[in-house]
Amino acid sequence: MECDDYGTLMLNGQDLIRLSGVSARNIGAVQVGLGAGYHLLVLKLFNGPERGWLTLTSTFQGESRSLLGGKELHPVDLSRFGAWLSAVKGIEKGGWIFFLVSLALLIILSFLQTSSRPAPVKAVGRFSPEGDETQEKGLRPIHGQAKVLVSLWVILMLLGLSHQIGLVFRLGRALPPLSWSMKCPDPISLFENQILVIRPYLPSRGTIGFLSDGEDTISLFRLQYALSPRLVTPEPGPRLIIGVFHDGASLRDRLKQGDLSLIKDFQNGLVLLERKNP
Amino acid sequence: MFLVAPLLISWLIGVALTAVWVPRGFGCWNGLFRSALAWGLGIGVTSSLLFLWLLLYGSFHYGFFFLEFGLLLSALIFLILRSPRQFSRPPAAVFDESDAKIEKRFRLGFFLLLLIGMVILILVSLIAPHGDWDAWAIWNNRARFIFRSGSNWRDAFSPLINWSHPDYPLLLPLTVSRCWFYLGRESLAVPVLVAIGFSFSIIALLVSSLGAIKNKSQGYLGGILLLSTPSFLTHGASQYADLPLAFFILAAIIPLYVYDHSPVKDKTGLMLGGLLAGFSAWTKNEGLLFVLILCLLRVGRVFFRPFSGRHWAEAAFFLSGLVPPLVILILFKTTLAPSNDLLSLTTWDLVTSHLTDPKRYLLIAKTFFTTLFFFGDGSLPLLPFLLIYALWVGRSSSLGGLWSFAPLFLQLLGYLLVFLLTPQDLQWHLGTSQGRLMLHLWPAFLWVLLAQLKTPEEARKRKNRPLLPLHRFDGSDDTGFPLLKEPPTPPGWLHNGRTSMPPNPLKMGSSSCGLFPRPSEKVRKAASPFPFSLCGLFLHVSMITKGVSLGKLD
Repeated sequence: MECDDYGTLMLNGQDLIRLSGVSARNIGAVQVGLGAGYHLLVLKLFNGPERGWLTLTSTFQGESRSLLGGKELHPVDLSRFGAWLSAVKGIEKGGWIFFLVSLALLIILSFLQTSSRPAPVKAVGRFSPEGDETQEKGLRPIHGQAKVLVSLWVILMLLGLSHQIGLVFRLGRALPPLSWSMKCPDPISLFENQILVIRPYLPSRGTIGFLSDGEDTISLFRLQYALSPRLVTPEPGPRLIIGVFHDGASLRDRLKQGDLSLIKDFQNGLVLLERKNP
Repeated sequence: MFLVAPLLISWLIGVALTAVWVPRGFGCWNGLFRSALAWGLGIGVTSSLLFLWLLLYGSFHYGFFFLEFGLLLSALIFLILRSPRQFSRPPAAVFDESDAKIEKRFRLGFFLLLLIGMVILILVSLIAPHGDWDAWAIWNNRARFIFRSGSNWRDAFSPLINWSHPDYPLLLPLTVSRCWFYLGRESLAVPVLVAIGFSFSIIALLVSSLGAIKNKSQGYLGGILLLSTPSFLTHGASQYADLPLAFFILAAIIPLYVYDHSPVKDKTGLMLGGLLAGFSAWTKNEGLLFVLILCLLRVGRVFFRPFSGRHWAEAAFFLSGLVPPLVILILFKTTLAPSNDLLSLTTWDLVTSHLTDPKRYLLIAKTFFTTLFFFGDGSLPLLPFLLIYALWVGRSSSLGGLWSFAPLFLQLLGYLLVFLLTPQDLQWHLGTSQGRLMLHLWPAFLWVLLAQLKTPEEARKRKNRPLLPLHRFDGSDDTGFPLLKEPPTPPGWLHNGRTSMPPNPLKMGSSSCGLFPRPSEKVRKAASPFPFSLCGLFLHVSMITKGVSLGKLD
C-alpha cells in the first residue's frame, strides 16, 4: 500500500498496515494468508491540506495486480453532517479566543472578589460606614487571591492535561499493532525489511546509484539510511543502480533508452540496474 | 542494564565535572541539578573524546574503553576526595503552612503531568523507533556510518551525500555510535534513551534550578509549563538534535545568570557557562550563533566598561570554558565538514535582493507571530497564558531585568535573519523549521521569565496585604494618599480578635483592583463560583475541540 500522509489497511476488522507521518509517499507491505470466501477490506486515508492519493497493489504467485488506484478515490459526501463538522472545527479554531476571554473574565472577577473581600488584619479603632453586617461577611476563611491562585492552578492543569491527554490519544491511534516482541512495523523498519533482498547483490561499501520514476526523495533518504555505510547518490556515475519504480511502464520506458540493463526486479517496486558504460 | 552502561559512564564523568564546576548557592536541590547537568556534560565530553580518538587513530579501538575507564576512575577518586565538602548542602528553606499547601498543589500537578509525559515519550518512541525524518536521515544515519564504516568513517562526510547535511556537528551521532561501540552492535534503544534522557534532563534542570533560586513551587510551575508544551514532548522522543541544543542553551544560561545576580561571585560558574555554550555549538550549527551572541555580550562588554581587572578576569574565565569544545568544533569544520548548504548557495546578489524584498519581511513576520502565538502545537496557546500570568504575579524585585533576555532575543533575531537570507524556498524553510527553532529557546525563556517573576507564594502575599497598613495610619497610606480623619469606633466591630478591613472612602474601588467599581453583594455572590464553572466549561470545550483534532488522523 502506498499513500500520501496517513493511511490504514484493515482486513476483517484487524489493522494490517498503518502508515503515519507527513510524507508525499508512505509505503507499507504485509503478507497474509487468506481462506476461501469473502473478506472485509477497509481502507482509511487522511491527507492535508490538498487531496491525497492511495494505491493498493496485491502480489499473488509472483504477479502484481493493482486493486485500487489513486484516481479512484473521492471524498465522501457528508451532506449536512459536513456542515456540523465545519461548525465544530470553527469552535476548535476559536478555542484560543474562548480561552483568552475566559481567562480575562476570570481575572477581572477575581479582582472584583478581592476588592469586596477584605483581608484580616489585627486592627483597632477602624470605622466602617457599612456597619456590623458587612464586617461579619468580610470574615471569610479563604482569601480572594488564594482562590485566584487555585483557579490559575486549575487552569494551568487543565491546559497541561488537555494538551497531554490529547497527545496520548493521537499517538495511541497512530500506534501500529504491537507484537509480543514489542517490534513495531514502522515505515522505516518495513522499508529496511523490504530491501533485505537487495543487500546480497551489493558490495559492502562504495557508491550506489539511485533512480526513480519521480521526485522520490524519501526513498533516496531511506535507502541511504538502510544501506549505510554505502553511499547512495542520485548523481550519474556508479555502475550499480537501485531503481524505485512505482509503475512498471516507466521502468520499461527507462530501459528502452539502452544505457541501463536490468539485473533483478524484486517485485516490490525495487529493481537493481547496471550501467552499461560506467 | 548493559544497554545503559555506556550512558551511565558518561553520566558519572559528568557528575565528577559538576563537582568542580557547579557554582555554590544552588541550595537544597543541588543533587538533582548536578545530575541533570551531568547528563549533558558527560555526553559532551565523551563525544568530544571519541571524535579526537577517531581523528588521531583513524578508527575505533578497544583502547578507547581504557581511556574512558581511566577518566572515570580518576573522576571517582576525585569525587571521593572532595565529597565531604562539596556535597554538604545548606538546609532546605522552611515554608509556612500556606506555602506548603501551594507547593503541594504544584508538586501534584507536576508529577501528574510528568507521568503522562513519560507515557507520551514511550508512545512516540514505539511509533517511530528510528526517530522522525531528520533523525534517521541525518543524525542516526551519521551514527550508522561511523559505527559501520570502521576505518572509512570519513565517508560519512562525503560531498556525494550533501543532501544529508554532513556539515552538522557530531555530538549526537558520536554519542549514539559510542554506545553501539560499547555494546558491539546496533540497538534502536540507544538513540531513544539518549533523546528521552535529554528531555528529562531539561525538565530536571529547569525544576531544580528554579527551585533553588526561587522556591519549589516556582520550580514545579516551570516543569508544568514545559510539560504542557506538546511539541516539547513529541520532539523529546523524535531523536532530533533540537532538544539537546535546548538543553545546552538552558544549561549555559543558568550559571551565567546566577553569576550575574548572585552576591557571591564564583567565577567557576562563568567557566561552566562557557563550556556548556561550547557544547551547544558541538550539537547543532545554531549553537554557533548562540556562542557568538554570548561572546558579544560577555566579552564585548568588557570594552564598553571602564577598565577593571575583574571584568577581564570574568571574560577570561568564560572563554576558558568555551575554548575546548570550540577547538573540537573547529577541528571538525576544517578537517571533515563540507561547506554548509545555506552558505554555499548564498551569493551577494541573492543577499541584496532578499534584503530589499518587502514580501519576505511580511511573510516572515506573519509566520513568526503565528508560530509564536500558537507555540507548542497545542489546541490552546501557551504564551498568552504565560503573559497574563506574568502580568498578574508581577516581577520580583530581587532578580533580573530585561537584559537577561538579551541572549535569547538576539538568538531569535539571528534566526529571523537567516530566514530572510535563506537561498531555500522561504515558505518551505519557515514551515519546516520555525517551530523547532523556537523550541531551542523555550526552556531557557521559561527559566529566565520565571526567575524574574514572583513566586505564587510571593504573589499571594502581595495581593493579600492590608489595603491600609496600620503602622502608617498617620494620615497617609503607603501610596501617600491622604485619609480622612479617623472617626470614632462603632460598637461591635471586633469579632474573635480579628477584624475586617474598613473601606477607605477616598480609595473606594481603586485600591487593589484599580479599575473596577465595587460590585453589589448580589453580584459578588453570583460571581464567586464563576472561576470554577469557567474551568469546567473550558475543560469541556477543550475536550470537544481536541476530539475533533484527534479525528483528523483517521
